Amino acid sequence: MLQTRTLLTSGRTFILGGASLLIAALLALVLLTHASSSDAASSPDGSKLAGARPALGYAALDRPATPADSAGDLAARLQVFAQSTPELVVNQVRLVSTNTDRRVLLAPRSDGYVCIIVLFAKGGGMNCNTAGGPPQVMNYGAAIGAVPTSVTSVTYKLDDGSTVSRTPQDGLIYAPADATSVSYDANGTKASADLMPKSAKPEGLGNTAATLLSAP
Amino acid sequence: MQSFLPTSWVRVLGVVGVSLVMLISATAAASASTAHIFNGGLSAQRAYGSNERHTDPSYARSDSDHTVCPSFDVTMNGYVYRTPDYYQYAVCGTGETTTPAAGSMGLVHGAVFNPNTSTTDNVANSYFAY
Repeated sequence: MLQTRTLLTSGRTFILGGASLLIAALLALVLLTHASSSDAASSPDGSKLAGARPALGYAALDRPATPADSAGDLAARLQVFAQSTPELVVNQVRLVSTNTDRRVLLAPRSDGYVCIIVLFAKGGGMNCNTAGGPPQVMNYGAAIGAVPTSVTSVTYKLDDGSTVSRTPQDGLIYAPADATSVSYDANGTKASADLMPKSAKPEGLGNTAATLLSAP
Repeated sequence: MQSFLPTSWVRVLGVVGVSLVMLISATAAASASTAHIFNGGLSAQRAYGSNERHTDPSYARSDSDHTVCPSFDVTMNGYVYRTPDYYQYAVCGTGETTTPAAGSMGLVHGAVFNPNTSTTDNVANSYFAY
């Protein structure tokens, strides 16, 4: 009788211990997952960013946050970009420019790249400088890009072969409608990217995005 | 009728069971489905789309060494040119580019279009999530 009771007790202890371990493991898993996903986003000074890539060095990303950087529906609308690009440091997004048609934001990434986000009332887009050029979103006949603070002038090549220089406005560059490429020199580091001139637009294609991306 | 197991055991097993069910449910809810629509070379002015339709994708994304427009299509005809206004709001770019859905989209295909007039895109990764 005593032996049976001892067996029962040790069996019960075994199951209770196992269940406790299982619950603890589940809790640890949930907590670890949560911690790893929010770790980069909680870095207040961007120290998670890899230094070699052209991250930071952008005036907007180097300034402190203001209420405008997270006003209204911004947080909700940024979620889809965080979903598509988990490296995005969402709580360090900065609003750079806004008008009735669009909002332009810059966002650092945990791997050192920088992204430009343009939000229209409906739709929008994001591009990150993973290909070496400036982060810029475009359509036929328009493009908005971001350049480092050290860049004081960019050169656009036009579809007639000529070139034109433009000065960044608040760190943003706006392509002429007939530009085929853009280039600049950031402290000795040259960067360039192809654009989509209006002349290349196929017949019948609407240009709502191009209109919304046009220079102010 | 008396249970095989003592009440405390049943409680413990219940807690463990509920925890497991909650964990599985949370994992399923958190993981969005993703469909890859293209990998490889996409010549100038050409579009490519997924063969399957998907419901309400949230975004399309491409990673390319040239300019592409990740986008959506509802007809499988020309992708970029002959569809409703989803494309009117699509943006293009070189490198990692994301276009979120402009509102609820219903059944759509994922599509990617290379707007370059002479260069072939090496689209390393193009997909949309729903």
